[in-house]
Amino acid sequence: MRKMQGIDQDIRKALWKVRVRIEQIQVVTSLLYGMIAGLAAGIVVLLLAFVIPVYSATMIAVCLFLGFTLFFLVWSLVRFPGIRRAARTLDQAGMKERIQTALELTGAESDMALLLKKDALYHIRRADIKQLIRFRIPAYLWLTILFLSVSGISASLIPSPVKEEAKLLHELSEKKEKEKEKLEEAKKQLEKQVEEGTLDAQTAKELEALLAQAMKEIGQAESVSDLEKASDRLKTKVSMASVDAAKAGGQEKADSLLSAAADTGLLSKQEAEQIKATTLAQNSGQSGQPGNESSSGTAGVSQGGEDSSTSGEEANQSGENQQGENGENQSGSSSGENGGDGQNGQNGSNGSNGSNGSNGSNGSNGSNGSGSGNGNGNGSGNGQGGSGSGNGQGGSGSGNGTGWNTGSKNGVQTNQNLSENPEQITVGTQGSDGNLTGQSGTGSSTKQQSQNGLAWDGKKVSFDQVLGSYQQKAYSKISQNKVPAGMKSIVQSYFDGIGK
Amino acid sequence: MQEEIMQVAGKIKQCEEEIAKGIIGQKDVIRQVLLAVLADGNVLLESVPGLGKTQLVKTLAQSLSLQFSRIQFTPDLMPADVTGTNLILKEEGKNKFQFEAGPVFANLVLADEINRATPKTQAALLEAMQEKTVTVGKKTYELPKPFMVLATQNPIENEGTYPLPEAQLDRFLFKILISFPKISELKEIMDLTVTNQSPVIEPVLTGEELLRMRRIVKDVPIADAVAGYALSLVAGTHPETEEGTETAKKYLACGASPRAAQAIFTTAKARALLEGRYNVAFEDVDAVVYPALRHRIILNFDAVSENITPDEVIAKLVEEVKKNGKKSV
Repeated sequence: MRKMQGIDQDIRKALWKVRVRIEQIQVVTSLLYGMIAGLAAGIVVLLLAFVIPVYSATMIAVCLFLGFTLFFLVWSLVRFPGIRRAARTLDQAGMKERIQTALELTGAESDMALLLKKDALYHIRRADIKQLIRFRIPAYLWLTILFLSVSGISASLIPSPVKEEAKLLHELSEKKEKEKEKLEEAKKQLEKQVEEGTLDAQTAKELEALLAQAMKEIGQAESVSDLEKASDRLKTKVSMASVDAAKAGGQEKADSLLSAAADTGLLSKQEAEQIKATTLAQNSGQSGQPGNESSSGTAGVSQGGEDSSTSGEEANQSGENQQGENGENQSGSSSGENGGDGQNGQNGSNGSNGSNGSNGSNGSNGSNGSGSGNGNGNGSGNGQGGSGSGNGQGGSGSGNGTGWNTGSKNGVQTNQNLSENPEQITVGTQGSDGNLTGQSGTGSSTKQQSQNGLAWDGKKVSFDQVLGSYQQKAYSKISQNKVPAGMKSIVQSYFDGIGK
Repeated sequence: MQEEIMQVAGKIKQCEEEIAKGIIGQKDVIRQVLLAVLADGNVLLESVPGLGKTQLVKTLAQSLSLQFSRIQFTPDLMPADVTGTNLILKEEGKNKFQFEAGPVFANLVLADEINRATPKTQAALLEAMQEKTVTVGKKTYELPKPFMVLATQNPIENEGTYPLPEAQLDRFLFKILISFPKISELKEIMDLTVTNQSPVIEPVLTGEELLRMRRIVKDVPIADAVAGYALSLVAGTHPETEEGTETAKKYLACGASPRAAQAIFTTAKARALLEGRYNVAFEDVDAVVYPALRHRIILNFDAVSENITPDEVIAKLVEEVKKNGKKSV
């Protein structure tokens, strides 16, 4: 009995090396099959990337390859072969069912059983397991792996429009996230400032509303340019909010808002300063621009830089399309005094239609507004020579009321009667200088020749007819940096808004 | 016991070599006959005349030191001619019956051209084969042990023959086909038979040793997987059952009986011992399945019309069972 048990144990022990050998083969085979499965899965992903925009398809393919390989490896390690499997393998390798029969006779005590077990044990111990259970990797496995590898590498390297699209989508997504994080941070900053008392709740609320709107627009953005537009719109709105704040609560409130916007990162400090300066200028009616003698195309010149209003609308309203009416300058009667009566060109009224933008183009003539259409109307109101070009920038047409009248108020505003024979300014000719007659004033005068002056003959046309060309010119000027940095976004959003 | 077993295997190999002295070539035939001897079964030898069937049996009897008798079956052979009969003898003035044993009372009986005798005579022999007894009148006589019948039949002469019915064919353990020898073997046969050379066959085994061997053969273990394989082969011959293979459904009208499984098991065990193993392997089953099944399966019309032989059907059957996986019991 003991002898029988001993032989049974011996057989099991002797089979250990067979099990190890089977496990080795199993691991290598599973690894190879895992690689094949991983490569196949990776190739599927890479091929899908030609049809569906998938960013980092290569990374996904690599992860799939590693994942499958690892899974098969672990699976093979877990499935350590049992004794019966070892016996079966050994028998198939040449033992002719000795081992399986011996295992089935575990505990049997007959003479035949003992003979069989001894015979089986003898054969196991004598056998060269590595020779008996050979492992050769079939050529087709290597070839398959090679083929799949080459295919996968090729698929990952071949460019396609869909891949580019995926890249762009990813960039967009990243930028969106960044913008959102920035806005979230800004919101937190606002809350902190409110808590600290450095910002009043109402301003914070206004800014938060803008933030929420911007967040929504960012979420809806479908391209990077949409994102940029949304960002620009936010800045524009902040700027407008500061203007409104200045009107409602004075410059201090506007400053507070701009500071908060700068602190929270909505605006850069430079942008905030620019907006502040613009707001101030708008409020004060001071044009920082020298009075330029506009030549053609400056219809509706306003004289004397009358500070009609800060709002473009008001300027529109006040502006009269006085073609040729240069006010006292023109009449010469004012002897150089800036016609205080300088009336804003009625173009301003046009401006409400936005067509005043055309004034902007006019502005380009005299670079008054440098085409801004805001009708900065530089300097016409200098009255310095009665250039009186003061564009009725109220007609900036932005409707934002931002068409500030930059007509300077240099000079004394006096009520002067207009000349009975007002000088007609001929416009409509490109490049022709519309010189205003009249006695030069005591002040200095400047003359600016416009370039590319587009004539505005004062006729009213539908803005659809002119929008396209004006928009193009505006963007052109923006790209040529002929628009002040702080105004670029405003101009852009203005035209975008019209387009919508 | 172990030594005895090892001795048996050696002696059977020796016996094989002795028979090969008298029968040139036909190594498979000799091996199969020996397997049948060890498995205590009867053999049906089928071949054209002149291929040494009678010589084989004689040589076998000499090597096994067994009593040999030959019965030439003819259409007029009577059952009493086979089994023996009661004769009236006068003894001390009185008539009495005395049983005169027939040629069947031997260890090794050669029933030559068994298909030429009438069914009645065939039945008399077949009863002896199955029961190992002979009944004459009211008395039953035991046949000597070991007892084995080697019947022969000629496949080409069908005139005036009485083919054995399937039920009686089933009683033969093996049906062995003897093929025409190769030229090289023919030359050896000529050298042996048309010269003054005559081989001397040495007795290797006795009847008692043979009986002991048969007991040992029955002790050889068979693994579950191997047993399952053998049973799948037998069950696969039945077209009407679930286990019936596609081959059986296509070519067989009727499958093998459980006697076929018994034949496969016992002869496979015997073969394992002859090969020096103490267990049955798949190759043992593969080696014995043909002689064990070929006379037990009945071909259908499709097989006959396509000229498919039983061996071809068995080959397809084996292939199909291996493909489906060897089932474990």
